[in-house]
Amino acid sequence: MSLEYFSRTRDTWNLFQQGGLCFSAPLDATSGGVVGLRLNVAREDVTSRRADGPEQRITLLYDALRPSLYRYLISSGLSPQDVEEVVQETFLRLYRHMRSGGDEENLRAWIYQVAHNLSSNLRKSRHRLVDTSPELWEQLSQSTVHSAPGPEEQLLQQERILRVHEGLAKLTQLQRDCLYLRVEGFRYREIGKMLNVGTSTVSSSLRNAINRLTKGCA
Amino acid sequence: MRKRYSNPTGVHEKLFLRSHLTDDAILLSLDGELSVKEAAEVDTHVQSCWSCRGRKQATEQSITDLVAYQNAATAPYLPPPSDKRAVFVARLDALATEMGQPSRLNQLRSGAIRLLRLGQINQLAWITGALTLIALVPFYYLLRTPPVVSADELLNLAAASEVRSTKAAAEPVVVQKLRISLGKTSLRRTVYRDVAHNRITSRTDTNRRGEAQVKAAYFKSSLDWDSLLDANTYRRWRAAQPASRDRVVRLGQDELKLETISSGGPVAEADLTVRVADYHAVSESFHLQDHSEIEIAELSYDVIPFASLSADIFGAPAQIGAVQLPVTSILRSTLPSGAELAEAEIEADSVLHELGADLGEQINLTTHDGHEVSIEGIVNDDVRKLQVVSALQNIPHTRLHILTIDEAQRAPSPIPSHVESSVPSVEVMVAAPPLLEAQLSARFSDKDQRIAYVNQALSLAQLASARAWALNRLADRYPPKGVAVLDNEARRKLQVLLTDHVSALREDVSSLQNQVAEILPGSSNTPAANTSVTSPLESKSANALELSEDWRDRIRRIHSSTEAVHESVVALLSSSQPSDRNDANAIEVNLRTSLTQLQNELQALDQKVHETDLK
Repeated sequence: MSLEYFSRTRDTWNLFQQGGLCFSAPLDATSGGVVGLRLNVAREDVTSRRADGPEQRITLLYDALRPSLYRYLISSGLSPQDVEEVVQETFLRLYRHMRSGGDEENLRAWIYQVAHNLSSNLRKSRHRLVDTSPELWEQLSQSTVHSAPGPEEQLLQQERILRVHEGLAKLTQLQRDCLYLRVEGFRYREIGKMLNVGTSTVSSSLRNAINRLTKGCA
Repeated sequence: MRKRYSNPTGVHEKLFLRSHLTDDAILLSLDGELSVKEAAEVDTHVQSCWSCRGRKQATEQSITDLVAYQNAATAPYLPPPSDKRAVFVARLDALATEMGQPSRLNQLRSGAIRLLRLGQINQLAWITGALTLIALVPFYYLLRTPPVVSADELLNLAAASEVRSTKAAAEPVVVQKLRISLGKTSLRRTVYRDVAHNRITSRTDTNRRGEAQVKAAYFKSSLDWDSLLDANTYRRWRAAQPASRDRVVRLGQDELKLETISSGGPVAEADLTVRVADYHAVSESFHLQDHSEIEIAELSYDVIPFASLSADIFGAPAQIGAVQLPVTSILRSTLPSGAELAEAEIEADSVLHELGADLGEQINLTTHDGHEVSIEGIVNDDVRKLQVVSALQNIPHTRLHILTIDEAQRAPSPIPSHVESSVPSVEVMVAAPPLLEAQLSARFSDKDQRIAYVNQALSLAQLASARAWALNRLADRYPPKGVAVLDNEARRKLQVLLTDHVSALREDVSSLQNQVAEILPGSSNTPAANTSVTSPLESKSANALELSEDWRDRIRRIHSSTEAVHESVVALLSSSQPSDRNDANAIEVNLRTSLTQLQNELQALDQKVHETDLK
């Protein structure tokens, strides 16, 4: 399941690159699924702007990356209101970056890095810890009830999710950041650059985090 | 191809521990972070070892569970609300209006970048482009008109052009900035030539690490390292060749290129490019017999009066006029400045950090006599020595004195005496049972399990201690005065070193806390446990302190706390001093408190070194 998830993330990125860098090319034939649809919707919305203007590129990037960025930021402990603010601020900064002739290599990593920094500052100012409220647990239980086929499987799945939940609460912030960025499909080097730590630190953080989750899930 | 993460130690050591895969190897393999060779080794082992296969599957299951958890936890918020999109588009429009239209230059630039993305050009454009190229080939040959001048004429004209350019200033000094490339190494140099006294000095502006490599290629090819890019230098090289053939070709409308093929000597072929407008030399290249190539390009060329430069730029002022030096003589620049030394020192620190040699290995850095950084130390064996020396040798202004243990024993040197005293190590204690022997036996009935648990806890404590020691050393070696002379790049390197150590130490302390919690319930690193020790009052005063406190003081406190934790872990789990027996409870409480306080201290330090400009 996780491998499928990673490959889906990479596909999204490939489509995003196609859509983000060639606006005159017909996307419909190559871009299937949700991302393709989103890009088409975005194109209709911005017909009034210049076809290759930076505003349109930003809007397309916003549409393509917003869902995954949402998931990452919610997981890292921000409230939905804060998440939307961080996402919008990130893309506005991207616009300034592109307009000032900034480097456009690996924009996706750039976007996540800025979003991560903004969310870290917000978290600190809110003194917010990882959400461990009973409401969240209720919500997690409900989601497994809907997804698992039988009562026994539901119970097993609930147990697993509970253990991950408990395991995550025992991790350091760095470990959680590494995990969630890895889930988004980033390589160790990219994660290290985003979090301003060495690749070996990313590697050891992920190893310790997974060990903790594995112990909790055993 | 993507560069894989790799450890400096051997492949097998990195992947295996007691004939089984390490946790690292399993995760790196699943994440595709191993080299092809390492991945193949892991796969082969997993096929034959059921135990490792089980661990690999457990790791995969954990990843699957994590993704399922994340999906479940974020499901209610996805997809993001659509009404916010309109708000964003409005904000973007407002920002675009505020910033105005992008400049024509920027538009052209971004358009060109987009065109360069070959994948975006459709098939028709490709075919049209290819046909146009074929049609242009005859024109290309037509444009390659016969050389307008001979090789000697071109060099004479270029030399005359240089002489003309120096007429403008009194006591002219030619200042030429060059970019020199050898393979992937590229560096910038500035060469100063005092025309009146035939004196030359030069300095490398960037990428000092590659300097030695490029310099070696120069010497191997009998080229003059301190020469200008000019016709005279080229003429001297050409005259030194036993036999050569020349050809002058036109490059477009603006440049002429002199190509010289040598039939002997280390350089197989060379060329010099001059501008047609004024015959000024702008680039040259040397193709060596070993197929490498030295490319030199002029970045700027100025002629300035000698008076506008520092009087001692070519050496001591007294020597001016008294010493007439030949054109090819090399005059070294003056002693390195404090900033250059500090830069060399932080560079050496970074290299040692990359090698993992800053965690208690006996290598010491000192600034020697104010003109070089002395790197002295003792390493385990020849392999490690080679690794350390080859990584450090290209850093300028350094003197290396690295010995193996065998060499040090053969020729006793004063190096280790002052290093030894400060290196963290597990002290040999009087053999007595550990204080928590009863808890250990109760928790782990199996002796092997107990030993494995204790070993892991001890190694975590020792690693944490080594990291805290490395941080402490940085704090001692970079006082505010030392940081003040660092340029931005060097400061950034220092910041990366600090943040890396702090992050790793946080990891170690967190892991140690979890490890200890297995036999001492209530000392885990959960938020609840973390807050249980610090009262609101303490936290408030701690926050106030955070803002003003120097990072070095915090590091020193963290170092002594980590040492205390290390000693407590040894006493509780490994062996205790007879005097400890009565204080078992106090040591236990002290360990819990120290671990929690360490976490808080480290979190504050992490924030400080991440967010503030170092001072």
